[in-house]
Amino acid sequence: MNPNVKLTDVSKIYRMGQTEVVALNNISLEVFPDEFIVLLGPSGSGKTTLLNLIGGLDAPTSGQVEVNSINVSMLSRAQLTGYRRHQIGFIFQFFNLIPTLNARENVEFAAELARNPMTPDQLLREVGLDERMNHFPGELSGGENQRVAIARALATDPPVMLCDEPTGSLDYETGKRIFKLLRTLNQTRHKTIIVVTHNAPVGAIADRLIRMRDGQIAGITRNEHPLDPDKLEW
Amino acid sequence: MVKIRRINLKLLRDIWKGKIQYFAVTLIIFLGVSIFITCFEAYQNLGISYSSFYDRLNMADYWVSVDQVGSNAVKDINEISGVEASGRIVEDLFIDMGEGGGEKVTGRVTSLPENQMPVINMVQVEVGNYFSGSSGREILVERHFAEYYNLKPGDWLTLEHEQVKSRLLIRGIVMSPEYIWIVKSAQEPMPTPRTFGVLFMPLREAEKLFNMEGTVNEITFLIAPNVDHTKVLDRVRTILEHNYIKRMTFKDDPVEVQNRRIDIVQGIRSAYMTERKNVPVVLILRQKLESFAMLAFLFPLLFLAMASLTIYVLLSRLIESQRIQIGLMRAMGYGRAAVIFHYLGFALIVGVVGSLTGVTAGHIWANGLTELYMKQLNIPIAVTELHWGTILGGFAAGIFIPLAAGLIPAWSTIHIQPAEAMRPPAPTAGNKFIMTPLLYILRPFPYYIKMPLRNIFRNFKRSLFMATGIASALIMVLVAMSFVDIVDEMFSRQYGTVTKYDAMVYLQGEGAASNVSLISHIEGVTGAEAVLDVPYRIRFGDNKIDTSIEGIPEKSTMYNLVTQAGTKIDVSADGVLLPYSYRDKLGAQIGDTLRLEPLKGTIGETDMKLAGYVWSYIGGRAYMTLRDVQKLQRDSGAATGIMVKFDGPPDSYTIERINNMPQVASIELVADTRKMLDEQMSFFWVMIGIMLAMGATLGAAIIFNGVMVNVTQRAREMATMRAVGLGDRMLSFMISLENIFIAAMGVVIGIPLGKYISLQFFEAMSTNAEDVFSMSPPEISARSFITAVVAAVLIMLISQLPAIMQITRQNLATVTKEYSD
Repeated sequence: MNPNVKLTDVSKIYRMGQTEVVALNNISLEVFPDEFIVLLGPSGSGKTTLLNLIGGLDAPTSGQVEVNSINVSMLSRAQLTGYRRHQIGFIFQFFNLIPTLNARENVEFAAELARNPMTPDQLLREVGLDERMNHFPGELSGGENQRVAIARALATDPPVMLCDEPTGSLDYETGKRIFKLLRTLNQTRHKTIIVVTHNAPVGAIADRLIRMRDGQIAGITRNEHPLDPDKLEW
Repeated sequence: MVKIRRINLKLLRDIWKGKIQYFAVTLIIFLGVSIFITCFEAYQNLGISYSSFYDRLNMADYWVSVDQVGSNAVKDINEISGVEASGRIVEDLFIDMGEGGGEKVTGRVTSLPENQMPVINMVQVEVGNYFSGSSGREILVERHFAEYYNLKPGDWLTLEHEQVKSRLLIRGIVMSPEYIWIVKSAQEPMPTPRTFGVLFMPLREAEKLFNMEGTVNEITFLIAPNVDHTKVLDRVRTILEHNYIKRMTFKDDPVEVQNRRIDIVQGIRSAYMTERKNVPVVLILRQKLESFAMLAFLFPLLFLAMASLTIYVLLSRLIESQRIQIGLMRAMGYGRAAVIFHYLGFALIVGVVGSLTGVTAGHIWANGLTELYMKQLNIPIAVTELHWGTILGGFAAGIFIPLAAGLIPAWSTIHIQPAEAMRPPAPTAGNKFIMTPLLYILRPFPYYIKMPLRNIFRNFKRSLFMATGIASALIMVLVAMSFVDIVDEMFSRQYGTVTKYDAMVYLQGEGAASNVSLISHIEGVTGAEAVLDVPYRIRFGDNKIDTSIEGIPEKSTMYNLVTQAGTKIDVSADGVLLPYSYRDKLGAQIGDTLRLEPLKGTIGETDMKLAGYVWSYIGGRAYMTLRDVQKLQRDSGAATGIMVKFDGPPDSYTIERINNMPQVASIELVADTRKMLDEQMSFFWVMIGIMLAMGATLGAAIIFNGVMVNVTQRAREMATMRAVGLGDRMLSFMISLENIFIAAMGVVIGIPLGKYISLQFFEAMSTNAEDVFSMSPPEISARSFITAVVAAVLIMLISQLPAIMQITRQNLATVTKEYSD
């Protein structure tokens, strides 16, 4: 099977005045369709940087990033915009919803960009928010906000979903429910999902757990029997 | 239902969220656009209204004044193809208002055809009728004079010419396009209706009264459209030559004295021609029009400049606070252009709403202003049109200026990288270059002084923006107050310092200075001094000014000339004193030799040193000693007027006795002139009030926005201060103190700028008015500066209240957790 995300010798170096900070150091990685990946590592290990490179939010200093046979590192700015629009769905720790739009409108905000958008109402029902569609972010709980953000990420029907600490600002129970939802989407909608977290137990729900340290991959563990998120404990 | 795109829905909701701030900017644009449309459309409407009125009453294109010419010359001019001509007699005489208060009034009589309305320079009968044609002893009275003396059709008037009195019946009260604004002469541009009236008399009666049978002294003519004026004027010249008038010259370019002497020797007679645009009434009305045109550009420019600055600050703040949303949009696949257009949309909506409402209100106000103004001038035609060019210009300016201002912050979104935008920005410490020494200097001060001062430099650009807002309010108030100063200064200097007499007694032609002793012996008169006013052209190099030279007694107690600085200066034999306003026009320095050429007669040409510049206002003229002017006129006893001081308000008996003196033409009471000026100022005070209100609105809108942006950006910091125990009062005090410091910066910027703009305003006004008025630059009083500063600080203190209320009402738990709204 061909990987739909492929990183080859990728490095990312930030220059801050005279000093250089190596965020990623010569990383190579392959992620396959329908895989559920957890990137685990302490703060500063480079996991968010890796996610940003895959998402086309940032460019590598060297190396090559390929997603669905698209060489992301070679794309122009305009092509990157199109790439993010159609290939990637983002989910952030702080949800990043537009506060002046309600739940349905936030999803529509993304759907309007897609060639074949998913139906916002259906997506919101799928994430369990059929009763809360007309509520504004300020009127929803953290978990509900993150569900809206997931529905929004799905609106353009992207093959790859990138989740940066999606439960970082949520309580234990809500966090578990979010992981359950992501896992379900991975299985039912066949999305490749990459989750960044520093919460070690989360790795048990992944198909593969990739540990990162100091900008490098410290180890890869394949779970033959990923844990049901309902049974997660931390 | 039309579904609005979600990115546009966000735009509308964001605007709704900051509705008061966006309303404030929209209000500034609205004011800028509406002032432009109001003033410029009123300017255009009034211009068309005047022209329509002139056209309706067939106002002449040219006036030709001669000493006397046969009526056949008029007939010949009338026969020129495309020309309509009319001959008439225009002469001054006295109107005896003796029955009432013993007044003798100068009357300007203009003859009209007896049986029908004239073809050119028609009159409009307001009350009564035109001449009946059955009796020559009828008269029509111009409405200003009739109103003052309450004259009605059926009343009788006694006219006196060369000691011959005749009584005429008033048939009607009329208005004339030549006398919408009463001007007696360039030296007396504002006679009161008490002393000067305009009358219309049947031609036959005028011929008899002035002993001019079969002749006229003024020919007026109108040229049909598409007829070559130059060719017509050549034909008129030829016709006049056939009638022994060999020279025809324009009135503003009189024959040189030397040529006049030759003309006399050779018996050459001259005709003086005036084009419509140079007729005094047209000049004055045009000058008033120009002031509208000037207002149409200066204030809107200030408003739109401030609106663009406000939009810049608002959008910059919005973009700063929506970094994450921008990052998100970019991450989701919204292109750079989409994001730029999204943020430009804020400026566009504000511009469109401000412009649309501004254009609509401006157009309505322009029509109202036109009608009000024409009503004040009693002109029955008020043309109110839709001037598409002006409307589109105002609309475009109201949209493009905010858009241009919004482009800079909107463009900045392209530098926001999605990955970076997701992270909160590092807190700014402020300008280190300023902050480091400031921290040292402020060390001994308590925190509630230190913090507001430091805050100013944390975001100096925004502090500067707020200071500019305060400065702009200050400028508006200062410009308005400088007008008040000009008027106050003019009146108090003219009537408190310069003019110490109670009345000017005008003598017939060149009278005798000996009238001084006769008048001073009249009971109730405490003093009298003679003046001699002679029309002169003053030359220096290639520059020239047509004015008059007034001879006043040395060490006069009734006419105290002062310098621009207000110090007394006497006329002396050392030279001629000129009004300050001539300085730039002539370019002469004190001590330079000027060439003085009389505008009438053949004597009095001389060279004279410039002895100094004096302060003057309306009717600026040159001054010399009475003796020197008399010498120039080779008449040691000549006088044109007598300045008279009364013992208290003069009674009718005293006035009557002066009026009864044989050489007296009229008496102009200073109190009457002041009263008339006060009445004419009512429109001016309304304009001042509007300017002050606009200044306050502009300042309030800018400061409100500035403070709102300031406190919302620091909401978390302020909430933290409250959370650790800082009281609401202390927080309000600190915000106010910061704003007061910023206001001080605004005052420093606003005062010199306000002074400069006031002077520019004045320069523009006096340039437009130079044909009629001669004004000296204003000295802005301490009162105006204090008023402007206090007003600006008050506006600032009031405008910050909503922001302070918002801060003290915010939810501490929520705000302290957020790093951005």
